[in-house]
Amino acid sequence: MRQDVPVSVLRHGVLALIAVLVLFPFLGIVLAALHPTGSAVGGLSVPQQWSWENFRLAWEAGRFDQLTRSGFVIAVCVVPLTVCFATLAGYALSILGVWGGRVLSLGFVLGLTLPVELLVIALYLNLREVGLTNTYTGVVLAEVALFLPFGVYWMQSHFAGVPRELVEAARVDGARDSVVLARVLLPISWPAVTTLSVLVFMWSWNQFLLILVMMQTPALRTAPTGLGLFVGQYGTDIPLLSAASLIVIAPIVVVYLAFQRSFVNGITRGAVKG
Amino acid sequence: MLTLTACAALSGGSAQDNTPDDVSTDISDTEATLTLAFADDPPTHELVEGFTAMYPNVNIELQQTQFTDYVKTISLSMTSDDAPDIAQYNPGAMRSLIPGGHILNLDPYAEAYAWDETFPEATLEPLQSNEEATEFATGSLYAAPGALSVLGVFHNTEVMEEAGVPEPPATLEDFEAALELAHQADIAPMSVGGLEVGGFQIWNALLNGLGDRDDYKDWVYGAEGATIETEAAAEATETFHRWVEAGYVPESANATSDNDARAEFVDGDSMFLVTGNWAAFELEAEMGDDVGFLLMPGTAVDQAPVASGGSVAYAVSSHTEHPDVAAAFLNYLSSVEAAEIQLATGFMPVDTQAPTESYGLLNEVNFGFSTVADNEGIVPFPDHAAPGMIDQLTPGIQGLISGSATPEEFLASLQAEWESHHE
Amino acid sequence: MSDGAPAHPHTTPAPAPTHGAGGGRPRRWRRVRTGLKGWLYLLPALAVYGGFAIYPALSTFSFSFLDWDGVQPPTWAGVENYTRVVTDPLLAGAIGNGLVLIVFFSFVPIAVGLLMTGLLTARGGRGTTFYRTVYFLPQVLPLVAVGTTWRWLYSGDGAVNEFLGAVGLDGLTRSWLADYHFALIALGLIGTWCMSGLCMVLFMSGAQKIDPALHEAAALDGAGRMRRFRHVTLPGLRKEISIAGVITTIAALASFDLVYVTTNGGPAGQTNVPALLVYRLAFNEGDIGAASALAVVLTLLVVALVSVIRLLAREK
Repeated sequence: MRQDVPVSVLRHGVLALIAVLVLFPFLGIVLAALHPTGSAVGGLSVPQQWSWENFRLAWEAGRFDQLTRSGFVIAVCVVPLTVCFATLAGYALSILGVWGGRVLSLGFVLGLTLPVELLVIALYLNLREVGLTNTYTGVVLAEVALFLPFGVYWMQSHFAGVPRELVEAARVDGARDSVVLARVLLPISWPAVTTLSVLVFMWSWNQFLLILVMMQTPALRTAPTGLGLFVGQYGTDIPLLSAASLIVIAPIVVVYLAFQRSFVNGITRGAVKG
Repeated sequence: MLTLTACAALSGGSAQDNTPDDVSTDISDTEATLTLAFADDPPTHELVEGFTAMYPNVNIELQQTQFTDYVKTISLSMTSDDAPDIAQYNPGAMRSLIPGGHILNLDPYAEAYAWDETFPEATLEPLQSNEEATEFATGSLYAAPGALSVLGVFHNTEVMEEAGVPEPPATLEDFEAALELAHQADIAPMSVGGLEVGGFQIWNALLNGLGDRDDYKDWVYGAEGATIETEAAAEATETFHRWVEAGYVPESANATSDNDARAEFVDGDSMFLVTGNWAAFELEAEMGDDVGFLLMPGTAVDQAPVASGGSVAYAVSSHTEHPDVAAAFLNYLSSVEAAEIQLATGFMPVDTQAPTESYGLLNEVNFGFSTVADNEGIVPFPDHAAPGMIDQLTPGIQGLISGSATPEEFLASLQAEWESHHE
Repeated sequence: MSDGAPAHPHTTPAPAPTHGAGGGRPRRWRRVRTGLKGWLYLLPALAVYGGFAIYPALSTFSFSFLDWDGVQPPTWAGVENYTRVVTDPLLAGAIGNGLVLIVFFSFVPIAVGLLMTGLLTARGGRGTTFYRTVYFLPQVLPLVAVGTTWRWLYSGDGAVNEFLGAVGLDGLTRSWLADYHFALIALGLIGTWCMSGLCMVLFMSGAQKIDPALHEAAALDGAGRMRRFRHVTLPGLRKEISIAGVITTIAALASFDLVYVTTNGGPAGQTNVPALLVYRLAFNEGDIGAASALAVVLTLLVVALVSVIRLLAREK
């Protein structure tokens, strides 16, 4: 189908304009972060002299070495656990079929609407009883529980889309359930698993309220939480604050750019499926 | 060596027994390791170092939490099995911890050490409460102050000159005139951290300046039938309201944090900054001779000075295995040695008689404080009046700044919060 | 769950497949065995989900009937906490503010997304990966970082005012987040910025899936651009619109991070949102009962709105 040239130009013009609107704040903080530390930066302005040391200063002042490490420790536990549990559960619900499977599926789907605010009060008070507050274990398990509804739903609908002949053929050959999952289903499920992994990584990395409540030791907190407190301390030093913000968003932007398709598919197509 | 037996029996069934039976003031033979949870540094770190240097047999491990989290953290950790031995006092948290029996009743130690003589009375008052922790400045002692603070006004002398203000104002009228001069000279009269506590501190300082002491203290301490809807409070609020309407309070105040306001003031963008002595160290370092300190002036020059003040204080866990050692640390806080550390870290020494050598701004702050202290004019901060009071004070002042609330509504909202807590 | 995870509970889970068609005893026994074995696979997920999501949710619900500071023994409070949520202007106001935010987090972005889709629907548009990547970017960022950035853009001498000044609207400049009347709107517009891209990406990819034959048929019937959009594109996007509605509504009602770093509820409580007060009541003021009741009401509101959206989106 052909398009008129003016229409096409207009179309790209509008698209580009929106892209600029989206990117404008980023441009702003990148420029601000390059101004000399402590200087007053109002609006958009190109620094007279490029000052890269803000990143080092912010890194040190905010103890981002600890925060980043802590964020990775948590994510590195949360991602495999969520993906593994979700895969097993999705397999059980969609291929094996279990008693009460429908109710369970609904139970997990219901979890998608529970706001974290509902859980955090009791999580904190209950985990305090068993000494799991202020520990990686407590936070990791809470995050896994938080992300499982989506994970289970995602893997379940993925497996439901796999042609049944594949599974039946393997069964006829006498393969046990675990073998069917490991040898037949997983090899063709990597795209789904990858998507789920990057989404869970993102949610874990960005998690704020849960960490704020559960972790008291500053060194155990994660980068976004650290940034929340950094604002209070260095809110006036715009270059430093901008550098800190960029430090916090850098890992997630890198992962996003690398797995861009997975992210967009995960949230858009994943949502439309079913 | 002195050993006392406390005979106070605790009523109230399930609560933990929190009164020590045998107290000793000699800890020289005790090898002990204690943990101390705190938020404010300085002076905690320095004071602990000073104490352990004196008693090498004692080791104190520090657990620091950011101030914003401290209430939450401390309420929970003090009730746990491995509670810290000593904790920085926090009025919000203590309202639950004291009735729960988790905080050691210090009366036997106060008697053994004669703290009523070594600590100024006004500094112990807010740390005393009844067993239910509903009323303060009465009942038993639950903490001892480690460093004192006071609320006042910092002024930028250079900016004052620029605006044609000849000398620091001596009366409230002068102060208002100075604000007007700055306003006319297109200089921001004040920096106001309305997003956080900076806004209501101005209101509080005005209340101090108007000389309201006893009614206000009763109110903060929770005395029965107390009210904030007094004439003095109405006048303080009206005054603040008038300043807002006259444009003395910057329009952006409600989105300005305390740090932002301080930075503005340091940069010479405003004439006055109302805050506590805790800012003095940094202000002097950044501004040198250009900064001075005064108490919020009153209506008359010779009026008895009143100022809000507080302390970084420490309470002892009733679960501790070494109450004597913990009490020895509290006792150390009123010593001459500690006074040096308190001064050096920008606080007022607990021992007000301690010989001090300070210069410049710190000296002015110190002088301001001792005039009030000598007149028994130190009153507590208003946010201590109820656990949710700070969440009425900050938005309430924001309402005055944005013109959405009247002075009467502001005071009524504070009183409503007070009554919902003290019913 | 709201904090980050997109929600789209409109999906009916895949029906549990039936093996064979009933039949003899051995077969049924096999089914029973498989049914039990399946539970083994479910166990880890169920244990963690049950222990760290369902159980806390139920606990919070039970706390909402207590008068409790989290330290001393609790006392029974009945529905007092709920009465307070409804009558206390502070708490009720926060819920109202949450509802206002829905306008900016949901309605506006969906409208923007639809408008752009109508204007730009590329029949097989190419070179859109770049735009898609850019538009989607705000979705992946930690909201704390988004908040710190916008706090600066909105400040008195910030870029927003600079821009207004440059286009001759000096009269409008103000410290946006400090302004009694504009703070909530300014906050909401941050949500608009975040969510519009998501809606556009969703709708545009949805529109591309609509059978071009439908458009052609409509065009042959003489339908103009507007009518084709109303009668072909819009119905075809029903599902996407409902998903966008669900995700953005939850983001609006449960927002915490953004408010925490920008206004912290100010000025004068104008931007208090339920999540902020839940945190404050529970962890600063030691009022576990009221905090729990507010959290429960918030959850009910989310579930109710999500159900309404699902109902509206259901094919007639």
